[in-house]
Amino acid sequence: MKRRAFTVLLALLLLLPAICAAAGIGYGARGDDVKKIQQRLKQWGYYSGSVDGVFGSGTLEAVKRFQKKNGLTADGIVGPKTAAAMGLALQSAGAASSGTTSNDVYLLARVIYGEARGEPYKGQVAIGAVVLNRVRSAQFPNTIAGVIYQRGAFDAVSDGQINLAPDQNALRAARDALNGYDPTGGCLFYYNPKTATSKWMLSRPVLLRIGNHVFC
Amino acid sequence: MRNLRNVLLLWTLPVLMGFGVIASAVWGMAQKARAEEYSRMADEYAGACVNSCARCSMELSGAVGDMCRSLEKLGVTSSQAGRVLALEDIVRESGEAAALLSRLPQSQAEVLDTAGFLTRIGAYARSLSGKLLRGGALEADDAEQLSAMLGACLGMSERLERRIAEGSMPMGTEEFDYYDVSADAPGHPDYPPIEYDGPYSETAESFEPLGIEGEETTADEARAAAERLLGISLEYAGKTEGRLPTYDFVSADGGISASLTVKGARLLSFSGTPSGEKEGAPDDGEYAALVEKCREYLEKFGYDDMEPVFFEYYGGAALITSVRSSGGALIYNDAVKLSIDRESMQPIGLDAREWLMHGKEREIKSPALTDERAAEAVSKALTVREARLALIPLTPLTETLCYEFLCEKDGREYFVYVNAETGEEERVMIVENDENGRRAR
Repeated sequence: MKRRAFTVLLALLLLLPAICAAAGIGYGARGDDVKKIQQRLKQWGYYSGSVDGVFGSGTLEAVKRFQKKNGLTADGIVGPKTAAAMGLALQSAGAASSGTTSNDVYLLARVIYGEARGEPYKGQVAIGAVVLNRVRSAQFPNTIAGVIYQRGAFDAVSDGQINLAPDQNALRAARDALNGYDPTGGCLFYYNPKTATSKWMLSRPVLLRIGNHVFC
Repeated sequence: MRNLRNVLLLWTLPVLMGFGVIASAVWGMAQKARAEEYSRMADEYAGACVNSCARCSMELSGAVGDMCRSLEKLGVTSSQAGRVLALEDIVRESGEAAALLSRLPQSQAEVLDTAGFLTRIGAYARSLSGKLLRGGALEADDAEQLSAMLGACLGMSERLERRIAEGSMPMGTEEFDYYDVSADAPGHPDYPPIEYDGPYSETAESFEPLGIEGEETTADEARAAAERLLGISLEYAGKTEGRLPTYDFVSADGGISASLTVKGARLLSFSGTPSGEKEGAPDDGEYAALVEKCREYLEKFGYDDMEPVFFEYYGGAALITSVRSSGGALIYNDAVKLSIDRESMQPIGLDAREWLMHGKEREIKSPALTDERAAEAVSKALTVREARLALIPLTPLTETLCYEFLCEKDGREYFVYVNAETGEEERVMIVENDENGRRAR
């Protein structure tokens, strides 16, 4: 009986890393993935401890706060959904990465969320597509960060809404846009006709309208 | 007892007031110290911003000046190697100048033309460099364009130097009402057009769609076609203009949107929402089912003979990029992206813009070289696994018939494209295979 119990215990200990990986990263975990999580949480103000790669109580509370704010189950475990919401590609969480860096996906999702949350899904993808059309255009910087942070380019950058954590829709819209879905057909600009005041912008020929935005 | 109460009443109020005054004084001093700290920090940030802008302005002026010298040297260099080196300098300097221009705190609308001009100088120089490396020569037209570019760059350099000397470059502290830093006054400077077949070329950006046939349709006809293809009721949501005009539709609950071309009522795109949340690579059985379904749906939507080549798995869906297969070759310009819900195996998204822009009938000629002969151009560091013919877009306006060799080195996969006529290696791409899909970069 004792021998059988010992065998079961040994098997459990051997399988523990695999079980943890399938379930996600949680309290007590250590390693590079934990460092990535801590860095991201610290960057966004959820975590104030040291980035030491040890998933302790401080990290646990920070993950719970992040999950709560982003409409996720606040269990303190970084599984695929939480990792995706953080824009992280973790080895053990199986989070998404589309070939572009996870930072690109997350930055694009943040600008989409800041500029177009509440818009139809197609309109959210369209905002991401405009950013990427600019990256491909001779007239704009050739990186996603360069386009997004160009002076005066996006209201969400000027008023700080780009720092809000994006929801799942914005993340999916960013991935769709990065994978080539462009509902605007190559547009470089958009504005809300109810609030826009720039004469230059208002003088551009409008090609389509999605939700509250017109694209040109 | 009464006296004690009187004494307490007499002293309590003044003592409390005294404490209040002291507390207010302490609080006021703390607030003053905090205000001074904020003011110091604001000065530091403003100083850092101005310094950064000053550096950016000086480096921009330097990069444009360097580009002028490289263009001038190119005009008097006779050796092929010397010309290629000068052109590579121009590529680097134009990239630096365009990046620095975008970092200056000025209206993006004002610098569009200048940024476009700087970027196109680099792209044109890169295309000329490639031409020379393939044994070509600088033609009279090229010399004329390079001379016009030098003239425009000299003017820009002179204006930038003058504005820096005057102290009128934007430093991020002014009202947001700037004009182009490379101009003397509000308004866009005139830049000479640059004609070439390469990235950012204006000619390539304005070509008309080749894959659209048929008569112009009405919105009702297009809606009927969309409802037949997607099997749902749709409402008219508007019309999109541009190079590929479309009628746009949306389902009653707003969950599905679709666009069909005005000409011919071809399904350009549609998008819905996946029902599941499956992530990660599929097993062999699911992969085979996805490939089969992809072909079936594309045929139903009017895109025949498509070969799935790249896969992305995220958000409960598989996004599959397929390209047309014709005459024994893959035609990479004729690409369609189809998204399949991995839970229900139903189509939930499509984007056929590339196919509709490029999808004309082509005659694929027999290659001059065999695949064994062409494989001699592949690096000896690679092991060739598979070979097939592919028509690839080497420039925006041309397609080249190549052998596509799938190669391997140290567990990594690569696509090597070798010209099927000349045997020259044309392009190398890294194949990324992971739990999120398969793609080439």
